[in-house]
Amino acid sequence: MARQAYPLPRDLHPAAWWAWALGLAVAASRTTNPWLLLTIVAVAGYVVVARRSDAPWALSFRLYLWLGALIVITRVVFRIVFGGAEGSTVLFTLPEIPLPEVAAGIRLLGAVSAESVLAGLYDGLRLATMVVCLGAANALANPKRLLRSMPSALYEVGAAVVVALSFFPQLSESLVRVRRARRLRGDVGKGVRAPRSLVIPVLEDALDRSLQLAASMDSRGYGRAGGLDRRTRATTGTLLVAGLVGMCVGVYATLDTLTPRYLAAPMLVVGLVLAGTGFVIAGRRVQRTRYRPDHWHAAEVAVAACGLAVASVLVAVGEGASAATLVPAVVSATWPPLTWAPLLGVLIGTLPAWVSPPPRPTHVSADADRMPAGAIA
Amino acid sequence: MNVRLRRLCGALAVAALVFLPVLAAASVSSIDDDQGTPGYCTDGSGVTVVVDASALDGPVIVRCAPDGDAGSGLEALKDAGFQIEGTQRFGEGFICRIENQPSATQRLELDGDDGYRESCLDTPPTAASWSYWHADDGGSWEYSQYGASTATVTPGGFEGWAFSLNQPTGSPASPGVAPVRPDVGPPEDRGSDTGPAGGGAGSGGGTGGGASSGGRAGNDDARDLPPPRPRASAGPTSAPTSAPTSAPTADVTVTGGEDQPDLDAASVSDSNPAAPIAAGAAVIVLGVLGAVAARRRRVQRSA
Amino acid sequence: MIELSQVSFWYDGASDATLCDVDLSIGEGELVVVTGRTGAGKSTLLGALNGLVPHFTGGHLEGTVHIDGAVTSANPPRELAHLVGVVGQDPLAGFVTDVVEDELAYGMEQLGLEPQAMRRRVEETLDLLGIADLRRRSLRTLSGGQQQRVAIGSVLTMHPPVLVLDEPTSALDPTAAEDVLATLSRLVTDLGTTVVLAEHRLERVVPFADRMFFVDGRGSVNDGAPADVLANSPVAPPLIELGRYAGWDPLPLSVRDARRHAVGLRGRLSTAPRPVARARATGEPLLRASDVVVRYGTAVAVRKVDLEVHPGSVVALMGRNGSGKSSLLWALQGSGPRHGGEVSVDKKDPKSLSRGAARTLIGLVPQTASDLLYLESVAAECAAADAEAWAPVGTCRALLEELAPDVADGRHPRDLSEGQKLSLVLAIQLTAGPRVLLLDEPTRGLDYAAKTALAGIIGALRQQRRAVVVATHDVELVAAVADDAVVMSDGEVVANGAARDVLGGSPAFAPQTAKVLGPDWLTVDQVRQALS
Repeated sequence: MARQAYPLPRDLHPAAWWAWALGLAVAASRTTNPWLLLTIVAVAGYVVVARRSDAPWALSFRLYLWLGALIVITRVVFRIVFGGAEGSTVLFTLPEIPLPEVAAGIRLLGAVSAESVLAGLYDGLRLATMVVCLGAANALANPKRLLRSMPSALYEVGAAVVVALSFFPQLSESLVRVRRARRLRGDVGKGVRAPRSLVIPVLEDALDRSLQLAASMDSRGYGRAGGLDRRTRATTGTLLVAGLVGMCVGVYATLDTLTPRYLAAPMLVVGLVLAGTGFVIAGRRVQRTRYRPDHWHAAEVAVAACGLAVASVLVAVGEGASAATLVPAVVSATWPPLTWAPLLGVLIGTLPAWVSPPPRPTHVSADADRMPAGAIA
Repeated sequence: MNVRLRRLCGALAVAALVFLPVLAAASVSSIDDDQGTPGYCTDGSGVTVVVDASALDGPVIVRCAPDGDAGSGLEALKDAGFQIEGTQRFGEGFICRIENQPSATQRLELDGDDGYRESCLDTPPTAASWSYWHADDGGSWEYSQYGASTATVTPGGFEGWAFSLNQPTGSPASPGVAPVRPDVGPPEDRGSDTGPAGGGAGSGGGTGGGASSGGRAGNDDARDLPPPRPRASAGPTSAPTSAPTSAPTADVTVTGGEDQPDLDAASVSDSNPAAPIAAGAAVIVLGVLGAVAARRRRVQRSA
Repeated sequence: MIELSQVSFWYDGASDATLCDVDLSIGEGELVVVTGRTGAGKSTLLGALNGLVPHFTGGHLEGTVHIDGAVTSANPPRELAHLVGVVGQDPLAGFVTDVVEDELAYGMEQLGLEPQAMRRRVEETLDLLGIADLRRRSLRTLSGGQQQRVAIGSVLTMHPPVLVLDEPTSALDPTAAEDVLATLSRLVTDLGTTVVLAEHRLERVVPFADRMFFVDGRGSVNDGAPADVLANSPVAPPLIELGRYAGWDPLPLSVRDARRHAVGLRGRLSTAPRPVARARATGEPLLRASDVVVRYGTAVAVRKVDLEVHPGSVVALMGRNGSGKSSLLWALQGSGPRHGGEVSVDKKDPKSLSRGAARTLIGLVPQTASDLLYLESVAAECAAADAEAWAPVGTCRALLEELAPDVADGRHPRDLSEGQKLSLVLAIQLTAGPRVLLLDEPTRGLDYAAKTALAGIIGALRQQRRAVVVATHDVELVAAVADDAVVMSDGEVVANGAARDVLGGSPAFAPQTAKVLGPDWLTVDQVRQALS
């Protein structure tokens, strides 16, 4: 009885996870406060661990964490090498490399101060957090299912992207195979010929596979429902392209505060309207159907709302009085300050781990319908 | 697995404890009184640094960096005791704030963006940024062709920083103080003479009457600097970018910067000391929960 | 159901027509096997049934092909998708989605069926093919046989009356191949689907076939009952050869038929001298491996395997896909990972030498031989091979002449047939003069003639006192060529002994001749020799 309200395991609509992750990423883009950024990373990581499935594509989150660490380290190293002495707390001094006159403004190495390391750290941490948020979206929502949920007017684009996504694992597999085979021909690793002996078989393999894939898709009816006439296709295409351009401009203008305001909200709305019209016109004539499409239920709305809430809280704090805590100054080496409002806002992002249903298991046990041992047959 | 978890928690706790003492860091007062002296330089060995924040309704501060061979304009600015803040992305390659002008919460009315706030993440927009000038003693302000970190200062000269707000591109406003070093009397002449800038011999431009404040460290009469005289020359002759757009007015109040508010106090005042600790705790708790969930998942999968 | 009338086809720029005035007719519910030498035009014929030829491949098609009333020249393949389902050689290359269930539904989505109907058909197909427990598995994690069944299922969901398969079992081990063929047979008998399939390894397929088409490579197609077509064809499974030799009529198509005919022959053979087993080699083994371990992460591919190969002997390495054969061969050569054990070839460990030095001791021809080819012409490859092996100019070319006489210098290596590619790679590897040669699945894609040529090559290598290890599924090749057989399963050696002992009595590994005549007789040649 206590479990009655417990949601059945199912996979959420991928757009819901993406909305959540993009909300976190927008929130991360608004701040360089390391407390908030680390909390965002922890939130994203926890939700991923709690709600990802066992499929192989879901195990890539670790890679994004490594990528984030790499970004941070690169920024800090760059700061140390190209200008590390900008504060008062000197950590250590590296020998300075003198540069010729033409590069008078650049200084290599030299004294390294805590402030410049911190500045590099904050900068890198923001980018790393956004990358980790996108990695969380990739780990929670199969990107291919997301492409399948696209409006039918964009189906061909989605199919091309899906094929491209499956292309890379195959490419890497054939790269590994050819590299192994190359060793059988002796030490071909040196000299001008070496990359060629690796690249040509891989490319030829890739070409063969693409042709086979194309033949297979053609034989199974891909492109069959293209019964639209030329004029409709041209109209739809124009509307779609214009709408997408408008949406891109609008989104960029919204997130970047320096562009004139008339480009932000109005362009976004105009773009949405145009694109929507294009989708509707194209979708009406298409004869394709979808097998087991994902639907939006309450859980999806809740998850997306959490992402939206996190982004809104941080945007609101950024416009408010304590905006300075979102971008702590690195004038001196102190702990950066923090207020409660953005922290609580970020912590809202953990709610999807409890609000959403657990993912569906991929392997059904083979003994699922055998009777237990003691049962009377 | 439990042992590993415990070890992880222990390591995190140790790390937190080690860095905790840094919390009580020295809070630096805004103007560093140990560096530089308020007012104009008395002799030709130092560099006078003028910071004009009047476009932001801020003060005009004149201080002297005593060592004229300091090197670059940036170092002169620091040696004069000003507290500067660069951008987060490019460090001090672009000066974003001098003496917390413009502050993080101050709204600037730019053309095209009413209510712009400078967060010092990236380079400031041209319509709201600090411009860098230099001049010889008694000369006229020239817009510097080099950045602050590469321009070398001349001893006895003037370094000028003026915040230009909504100036047309290519013609920023020069500092509203004439680059003339007032003549200072012999060191014994110490009185609190607040006489106006009368005649006084001196090079074209201005003399320093009552200039006992100039060059004396710790003298509170720094407010009584002689008002700047209008410039003799029409405008700076340096080529493409500069034209005088604001003539120095006679009633510019110049300070030596002693009564600037404490920057760090301002930034710390609106934060809560408990919030960062809560953030750290949240990160640790989420990490532990995640590890537990992962372990449970692994056990389930292998069962 | 299918009508080809006066069909001629030639590719752009080709001087000869691939198909010339072909007239064929296939009725409903028949299982037709298309056979012929490699490059003869089997794939072209199958492609013509679907419209891939000419719409996808280009070229000129004359004549008409009717599929259930529709004409292929007027309809591109996608319009015929509900009539003809095509399954290729490499199922993984034809998969569009990630998950079995989605792959099955893909075709139906394109047809625009409603969701209810799609779900019902997916469930039915899962049951029909016996892959119901695989429904949410990722396609890349399936075995070869499972992938092939999913590929068949993905076209079956559209309920096409015609199913066209191009070499469906070439990449599969015998058990998986049996599975797939049993499924096809069930489709034919239960559902009445018309199945047209091209296959090299006729011994598996011939028992199921109703009709057989033989594409002779000069543009025409012989059509008839399997026994009639095989009676005169140059490509024939061992059963047919045995039948031809013994003069049985009608030619037996299955082991059961052959056993009925073979009573007399068995009687004669009981008095004939047994084939002389080659003396087990003694002396110092050329290749000695002990306790070899290969692991990939936590999975152990090769688990403490011992192997000894003497000069002048051929060892066959058998076992199902995934039993560790390839991993063992790579570990022996030294280019693959080896996590334990010792290997010595001529008293040296190949792993400790440089790659160039190792290949002069022991050479390996990998599964995908074309991975080694990267230049534009055969001559360039040979020149490169001479340079890599520090051999005198012309060595590789001379070797290639012996192995495959009809390969011109200027041809692009990718244009060669499978057998010719294999010969080219063999020549490249032999240029380095290794005393031990390892072959990993060399028979994939080879027809009977090429396999006979390969058997001849291996025999020649044996004459040169080299040691050869062949990893293969092909029992007939093993019977023809191998002295010893090693059977691996799950990384361990399960059986190791003389080929005759290992192959003779085993139901899975017995060649057709042995199944008919008894464990002492492995090949038709042995029978011929004994009775002459």
